[in-house]
Amino acid sequence: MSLITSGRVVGLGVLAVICGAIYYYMYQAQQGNLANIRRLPQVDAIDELIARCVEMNRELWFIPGGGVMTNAFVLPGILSVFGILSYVTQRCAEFGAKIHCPTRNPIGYNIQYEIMREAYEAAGKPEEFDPLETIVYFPGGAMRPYIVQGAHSRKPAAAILLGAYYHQTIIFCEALQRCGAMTLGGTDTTHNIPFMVAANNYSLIGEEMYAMSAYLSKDPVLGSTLAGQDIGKYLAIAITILGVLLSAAGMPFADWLVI
Amino acid sequence: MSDEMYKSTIPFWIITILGALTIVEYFFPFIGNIVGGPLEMLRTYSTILAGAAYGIGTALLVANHGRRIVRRTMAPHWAFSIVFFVSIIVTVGVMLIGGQTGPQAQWVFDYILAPSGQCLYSTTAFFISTAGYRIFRFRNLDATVLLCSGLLILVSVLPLFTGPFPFFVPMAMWLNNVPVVAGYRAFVMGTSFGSIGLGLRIMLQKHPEALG
Repeated sequence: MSLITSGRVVGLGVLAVICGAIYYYMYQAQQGNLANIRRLPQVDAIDELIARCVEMNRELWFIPGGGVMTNAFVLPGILSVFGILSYVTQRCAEFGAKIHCPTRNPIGYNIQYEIMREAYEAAGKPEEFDPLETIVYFPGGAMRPYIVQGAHSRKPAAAILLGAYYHQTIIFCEALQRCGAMTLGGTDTTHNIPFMVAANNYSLIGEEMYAMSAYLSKDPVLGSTLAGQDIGKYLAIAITILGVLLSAAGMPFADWLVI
Repeated sequence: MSDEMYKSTIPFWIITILGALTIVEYFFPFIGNIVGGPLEMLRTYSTILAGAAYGIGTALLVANHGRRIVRRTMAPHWAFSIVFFVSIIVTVGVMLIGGQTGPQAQWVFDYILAPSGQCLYSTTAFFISTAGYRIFRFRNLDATVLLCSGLLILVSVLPLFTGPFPFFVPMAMWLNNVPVVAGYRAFVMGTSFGSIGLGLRIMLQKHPEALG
C-alpha cells in the first residue's frame, strides 16, 4: 500500500503550498506587515442598501440561500455568510433599519438566530431584536412562495441574497427587483453565478463571498489570509500556461497531474 | 466550565481536530484505516443534529404563526396562519394513521405538496423571461456583450434561424465550449481557493462567526 493515495500527490502538494502561503501571510500580518487588500466595492454597496432602507422606512431582507450544512459542497457558502450577516445586522441596528431574515436551513437557522441577536446586542439595541420576526425559519419549499408573495406585500427597499442558491436564484432576484428593491446577490454554486450577476444591482462572484466575510471582520490579520489565496491563483495560472505549452509539445502533462 | 469554553473553545477544537483528520484521511490511506471508522460515525451524528434542528425549526414556526393569530389585529393576512395549523395537524394526523410512507401520506405528497411545488417551479420560465427583458439592453459595453452572446445562443437553438443561417450553430458551440468553459473553470478554481482559505481560517479558529 502506497503512503499517499494514488492520484492525489499533486493535490496534496498544491494544498500544502496554498495553506502554507495563507499561514505565511497571517504570520506576517501578526508581525505588523499587513498585506495590501483591494477594497471590495460591494462593501460600500451594503451601506448604500441600508441607507436606502432607512430613507424609505422599509425593510432590508437578508436571504441566506438554501442548502443544508450536512452537505460539504455547499457548507463554505453557508458558513461564509454568517460573518456578513453579523456585519449587516449590526449596521442595520445602528442606523435604525429593520432587517428581516427568512431562512430555510434548519441548523443554520439556530446559528443565524444567535448571530443576529448578538449583533443587536453589540449595537446596544437588544430590545429591537424580535425573535419571531427578525429571523424566520421556513421548511423546504415554503421559502419560495414566501419570498415571491412577501416581496410584493412587504416591499423591502433592499435585499441581500448570499449563500448556496439553486434554481430559486432567478425567482427571488426577479421578484425582489420587480417590487423595486435594490439587491446585492452572491453565490458559490457556479451554475447560478450568471443569474446573480445579471439580475442583481451588485453581485459577489464565488470566492468574493468568502473574501467579504474576512474583509468585513475588524481583524486585519484575517484579511491578510486573502493574499495567501492569491498565491494559489498564481500557481493555477502557472500550471495552466505550463500545461498548454507542454501539451502542445506533445507531452502527457495531464497524466503527470494525477500521479 | 465557563460559558466561553462551552460555546467557543471546545467546539472550535472539535472542528480543528476533525477537520485535520478528515484532510489527512483523504490523502493518506493508512490514516484512514486507523481513524476512518470513528470519523464516519461522527459524520452520521450530523444527520441526527439536523433532525433535532428541524424539530426546533418546526416548533418556532408554530410559535410564529400562533403569535400571528393571537395578535391578529397587528398581523396582516393572519388568517393564513390558521391554514398553516390545519395543514400541519392534517399532515401529522395522516402520518400517525398510515405511517410516513402510508397511502394517506403519499396522497398528501402527490396531490398537495408536489403540485404546489411544481406550480411555483414552473413560474421560473416567466421570471427568466422578465429578467431577460430587463437585462438584455444596450446600457453599456458589458450589457451589450451579454445581449449579443445571449441572442447568439438563442438563435442557435431556434430552427427558424438555424435553417437559413446554419453558421450560427458552430459560432454558439464555440462560445459555449471556449469562453464559457474558461470562465466557468476560473469560477470553480476561485471558489476552491476561497473554500481552502475559509476552511483554514475556521480550523485556525480565526473565524468565530462560524459558530454563531
